[in-house]
Amino acid sequence: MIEIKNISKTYNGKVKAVNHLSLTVEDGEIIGFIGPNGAGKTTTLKMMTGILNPDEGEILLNGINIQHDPLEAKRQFGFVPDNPDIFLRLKGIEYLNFMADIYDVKEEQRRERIAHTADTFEMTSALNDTILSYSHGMRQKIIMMGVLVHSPNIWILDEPLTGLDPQAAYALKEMMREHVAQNKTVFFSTHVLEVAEKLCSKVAIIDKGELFYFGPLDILKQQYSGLSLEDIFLKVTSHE
Amino acid sequence: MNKYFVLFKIMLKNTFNIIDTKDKKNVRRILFVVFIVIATAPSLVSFGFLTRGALFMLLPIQQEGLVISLLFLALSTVIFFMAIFLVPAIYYFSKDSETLLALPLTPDAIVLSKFSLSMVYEYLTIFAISIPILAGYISIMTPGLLFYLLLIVILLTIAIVPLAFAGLIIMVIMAFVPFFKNRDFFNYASGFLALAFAIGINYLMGGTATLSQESLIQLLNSGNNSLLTIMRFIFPNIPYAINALVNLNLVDFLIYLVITALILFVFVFVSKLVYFKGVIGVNETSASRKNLNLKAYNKETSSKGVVFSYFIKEMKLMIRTPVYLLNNISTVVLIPIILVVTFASGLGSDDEIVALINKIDWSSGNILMIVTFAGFVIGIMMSTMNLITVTALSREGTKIYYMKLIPMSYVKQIQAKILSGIVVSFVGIMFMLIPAWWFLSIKIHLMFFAFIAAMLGMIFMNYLGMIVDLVHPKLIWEQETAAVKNNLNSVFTMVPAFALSFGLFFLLQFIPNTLGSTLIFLVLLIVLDAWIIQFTHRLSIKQLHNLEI
Repeated sequence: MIEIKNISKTYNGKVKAVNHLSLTVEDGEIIGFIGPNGAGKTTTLKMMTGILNPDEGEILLNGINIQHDPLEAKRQFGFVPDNPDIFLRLKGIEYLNFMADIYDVKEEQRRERIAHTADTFEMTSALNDTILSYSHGMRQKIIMMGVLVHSPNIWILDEPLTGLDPQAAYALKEMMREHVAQNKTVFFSTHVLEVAEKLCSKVAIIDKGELFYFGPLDILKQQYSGLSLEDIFLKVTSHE
Repeated sequence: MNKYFVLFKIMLKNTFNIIDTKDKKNVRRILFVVFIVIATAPSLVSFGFLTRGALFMLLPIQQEGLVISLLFLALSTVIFFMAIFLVPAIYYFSKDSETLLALPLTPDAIVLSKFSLSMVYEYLTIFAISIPILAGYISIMTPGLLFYLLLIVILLTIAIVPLAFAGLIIMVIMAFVPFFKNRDFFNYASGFLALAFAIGINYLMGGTATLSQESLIQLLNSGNNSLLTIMRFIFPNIPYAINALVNLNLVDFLIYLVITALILFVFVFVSKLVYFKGVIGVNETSASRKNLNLKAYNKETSSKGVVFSYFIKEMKLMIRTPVYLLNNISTVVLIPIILVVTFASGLGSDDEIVALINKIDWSSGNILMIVTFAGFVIGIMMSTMNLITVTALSREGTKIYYMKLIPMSYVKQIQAKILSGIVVSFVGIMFMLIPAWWFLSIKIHLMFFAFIAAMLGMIFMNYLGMIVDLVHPKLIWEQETAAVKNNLNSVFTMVPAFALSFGLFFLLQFIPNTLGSTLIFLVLLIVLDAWIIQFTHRLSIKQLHNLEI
């Protein structure tokens, strides 16, 4: 469960990136976080994960406040950033084992999980090579595998499908569905409206730091009947 | 030529002009530079006074030109050594290499713009070294306008030849040593080969010609800057620059310019032939795409402690990034080797310092304090030179966000980073202490005190480095070189390290050379270390919590 309560973030004391944003994600939900470039999506995700400190408001992950009890809160989620170029000179297997060590994953468990996800993402033969030698999509996969190795309750993903090949994108979407089927939570940002439409139980539409809509996509569609999803999105974010 | 200017302008902007638009940060940046100037001012001013003192001695025997001569010797050597580290990073391992290769640019346009960028890097060093010495020189010699004109041209062009030499050595090695199939290994090997080659050349060609005592005295007495004739330089244009300045000789000045231009021409010509040969595919990494066997898989996935795992990650990233390997690790290994080779080969045995060292009865028990201080100085110097903790956060760049993301306390993360600095410093210290013990036959109990002092000095400097980087990490960079080379943070550990070293040896004459005072010194160091460890831990929580990128 994710509870975002009235958070705001201003850069340089001038640019309001997020403005009094509140939303609650229940267990068992996949939320698509949608908005144009510079809407405040990544800033929100960074505040949820402790990378940025909100100027006001609070964020609770499974009831744990990330500001007050950061270590315990960070154990609740796994985060995939929008840019997967990190630890490029580690081998894939070294990165995964590093993550397993950081999250105290038992040896048996990590071995089983790494083998399973490597198989799913067709990464088994790449594990012993440095991440530097990976393509963008492969880097995306190894970061996702780094999340899966510690099996967190909440997944927070920033543009997770960008750069993935069709098979991997399909596998990831299936994994997201399976994850929420176990009464867990997925919160991901995306530009691809079709993905949100097919995958999400609810969408949150944000623009200029403010939340314009949060709820099931069907209800939004009813409000704007006759319009395509793209038109609805453009209409909502043009503030008409 | 047009493309060269465009390229150079972009590189310059990209490297030096990444200024945050945040006003608060700009103020901090200016304050930081002001602080650096203030921090380094005392040593710069003392250099000026030292020059004046030297001139007062040299003037009566008409050898004042020696000051200019030594300045240029120091400048060209320092630039050359810096270039040996800088050239592979800028020409080959920088991220823009691949982007530039895809553009319709000639190799000489790329190489010349990178060459010019290296020149800009070197100017800071040139001015830092020459301004205090020249200020001392000018204040006594009061030269005319011509001197200033020649001086400005020479200072602006003096980096060309050392940079071209370093560039030539490295370009040729990178292009023609294809004996490794593994590109990564090849990069390291050629980097070290270039270093060894450069050190060798410097060693064989630098310094002064050997002269008998009589002929030296004769030269000294003949005045008229006769000592200049015995200086030997690796770089052929330097003697002309010295003559031009000391005697205001325009012919020599022209010869200096011609030689400089010729060497630059050769450099550009060779770069046309060999640069692409070495740089194409330089950032390729080998990929086997082979499945791990069960044994290897189980080994790779074995569980380690959190701090140890983090430390291993730090070491792997440092060793596998050529720029970091050359700057952070090789200095620690190379400097002791150079010292040991110099000492063991008996070269420079006429040198005053070596003579002084030889005079001391190292097996005597009466030198406890000297040995302990020496151990401490070795500890702090070897920890300062590797720049590991002082760039530990800077090296993360914008990817530092992961430190805030993982469920590992900031204190533990900082401890793991400091541990990587301590391990490398420890290796460097042992490379110094063991040969010192061996060559000087120091008694083992004295070595024990030196070792303890070195360890305490090592802990202090590694934590101090971490504090500096916590307060002012350089996170916005595009080239890995910028995180270590273009990072002024190191000044904040270098200055205290030198000040402590000189200060302690100055104090030595006032402190009784007894076991008691040595123990008091060690206890003080323990207290200092305990304090700095606690302080760093508190600071890391505050700084990393507030850090936003």
